Amino acid sequence: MNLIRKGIFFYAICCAWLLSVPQVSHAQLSEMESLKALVRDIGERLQEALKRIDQLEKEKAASRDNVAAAPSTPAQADSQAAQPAPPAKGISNAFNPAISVNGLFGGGYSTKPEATRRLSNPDFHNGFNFQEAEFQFTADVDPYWKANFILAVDRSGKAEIEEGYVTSEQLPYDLLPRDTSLKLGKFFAGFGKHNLLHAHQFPFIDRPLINQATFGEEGLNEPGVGLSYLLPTSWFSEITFQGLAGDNDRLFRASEDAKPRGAYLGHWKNFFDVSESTTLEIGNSYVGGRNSYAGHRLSQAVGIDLTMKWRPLRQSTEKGLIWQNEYIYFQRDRSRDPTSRGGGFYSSLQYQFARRWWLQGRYDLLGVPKLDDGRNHRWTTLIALVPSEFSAVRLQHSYTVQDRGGPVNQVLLQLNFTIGSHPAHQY
Amino acid sequence: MRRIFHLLLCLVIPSAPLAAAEPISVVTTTADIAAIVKAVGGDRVAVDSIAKGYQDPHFVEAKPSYVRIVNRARMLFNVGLELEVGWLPLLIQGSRNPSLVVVDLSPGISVLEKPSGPISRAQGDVHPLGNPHYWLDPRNGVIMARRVAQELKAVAPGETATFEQNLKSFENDLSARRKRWEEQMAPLRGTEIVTYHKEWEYLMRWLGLSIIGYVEDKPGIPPSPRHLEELIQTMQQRKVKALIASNYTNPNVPKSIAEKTGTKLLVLPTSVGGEETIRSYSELFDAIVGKLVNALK
Repeated sequence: MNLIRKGIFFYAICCAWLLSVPQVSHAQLSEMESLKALVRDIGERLQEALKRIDQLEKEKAASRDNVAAAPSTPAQADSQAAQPAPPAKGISNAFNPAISVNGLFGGGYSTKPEATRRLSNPDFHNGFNFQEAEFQFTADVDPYWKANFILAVDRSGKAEIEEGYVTSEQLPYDLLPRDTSLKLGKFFAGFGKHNLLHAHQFPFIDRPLINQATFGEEGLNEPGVGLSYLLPTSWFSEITFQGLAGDNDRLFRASEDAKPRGAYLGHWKNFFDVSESTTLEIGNSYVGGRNSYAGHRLSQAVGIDLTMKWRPLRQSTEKGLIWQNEYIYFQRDRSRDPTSRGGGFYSSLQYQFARRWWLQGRYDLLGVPKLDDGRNHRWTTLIALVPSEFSAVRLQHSYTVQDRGGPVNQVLLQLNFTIGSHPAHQY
Repeated sequence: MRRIFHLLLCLVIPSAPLAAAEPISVVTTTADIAAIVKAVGGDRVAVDSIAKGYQDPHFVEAKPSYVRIVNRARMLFNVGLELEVGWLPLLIQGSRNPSLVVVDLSPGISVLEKPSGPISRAQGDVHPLGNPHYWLDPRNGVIMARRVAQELKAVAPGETATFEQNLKSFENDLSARRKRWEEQMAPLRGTEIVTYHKEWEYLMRWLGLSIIGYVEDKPGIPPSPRHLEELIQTMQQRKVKALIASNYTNPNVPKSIAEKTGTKLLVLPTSVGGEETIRSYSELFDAIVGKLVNALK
């Protein structure tokens, strides 16, 4: 294009030079007129040519922008889709993990802080506090593995890898059968419903009493390996087996430095569409392993969960209802002391009555069968204002009745927010 | 090992090769893509759509029953441009289906509203890759159908002629109808309208209607009272003829604006299946254009 432009420019200069040469002879006057006409003609043509060049350049730029508009091969199309804008300089960021950070800031007041610490949160104290920050990093390792790291930093500044695992649905040489997925690393074990959740995903600000009593402050979160298999049924049915370290300090370990002796977990999840807006999920879980109390007897827990969800598709951002129930029974056999056992359940309702508002209630019963300190009932109500899917402000009140010790009133307030990459939402 | 088993199965069961005649099982994220795949694939495909046409495709829940559908599918077609970012990754990962062919239909589309400067969530649900509602321009429907045909041919090369023929009829039919829709809308070009969410840019750009404001001042975030006040003023001053909302938008706010301004509230379907009578991609535009002409004439 530049060559054409240069050529035309040169031609125009020549013409202009011819025109500017002093014309003295009369005989040349008519010739001059014709030359003038020629120059006018050339000028007009030059303008036309320049217009045409501009037009061509515009078309070229447009076709560059729309290069993908032409039918492309899938490979080309995919590579176009995958190619981000090149960085100005330096190394490409394309393969960096997706990063998101979640912050939990809250405050609380309990009429009996000691009872609250014993029953639901060992770190509780009256007043404001920064609960936790979670940093999540997710990326594909290669065509076979996907990695997920979640680092949690608590208010004392102590950081730990809350979860760090890889998952795979496909391995070289077809090592992994179809319909199977593999999970390796440290993760929340697949026991029931609530145990799988991080603190910022809890439906209420605190854990159910039975989860706290069975697995403690950290939940059943263990290094291990797991396989889950999608059964060839007409509904969603999934079986999960996990081999775990067995280092949960409530269920398995007698003391901090006791050696973990391994544990096994099984979970069977069934999911049904009752209607297009209503679903039902039923799950059964078992975990068992040798504990580190004298005699290395068996510690085990069984659980059953039932969840119904309703969300009308035509108003999917405005209305919703979740009814979740979970029962857990645990038992620690010890050779020197009597077996310690216990059980309990919770039943919760979460109702979204407007785009930004949720009203929730939960009933906890700890002590079926009775624990050493008897039975505890807790009623919890919560109201949540959810400005967007990235933030929520929640206010919760709970009233606990204990067999031993008087009633406890507790109020909690929490701000929950997420920044960074858009996380997909588990159902 | 599995290959040997399949080989033995083919040798032992003479009817096994008949399995090749099974239709290709396809799952799509939206009902519009399902309609296009159905048009191009004909009876050689069995299509399932995850989002219903009357559902907001941004906010689909990743139900395990959808995981099962993706698990059994051979191909998955999606809109892309992060429209399905909140739910599709979980379905694909949970499906445990490594042979699934995933096709993002957005490459090839001239995407509108690609952010040119820095973006942040303070601007609301901004799509970093541009506005994803591109199926609401039938010219993009043709680009999508061509890509669908290409991908179907790659999976079932034996059916190339069928897919090409179906694609040709789809294109011819859509092109003839498009001329009619454009003629119907020609007198209305330049009409000023207000929409609820930023989902009508492709449609209005094609039809030449001018969007002068949005009920949502930030995409995906309910509007502030101050913004509504200003919008109502603008609508009254400029005598805006219609306020357009999709059929999954909560009608309370648009209704009150329409009442205050005297503007017509026009609730439009955004997808195939958005209304019971809309069963194909062209019926979607029949419905939209019909409603626009009625409301704006």
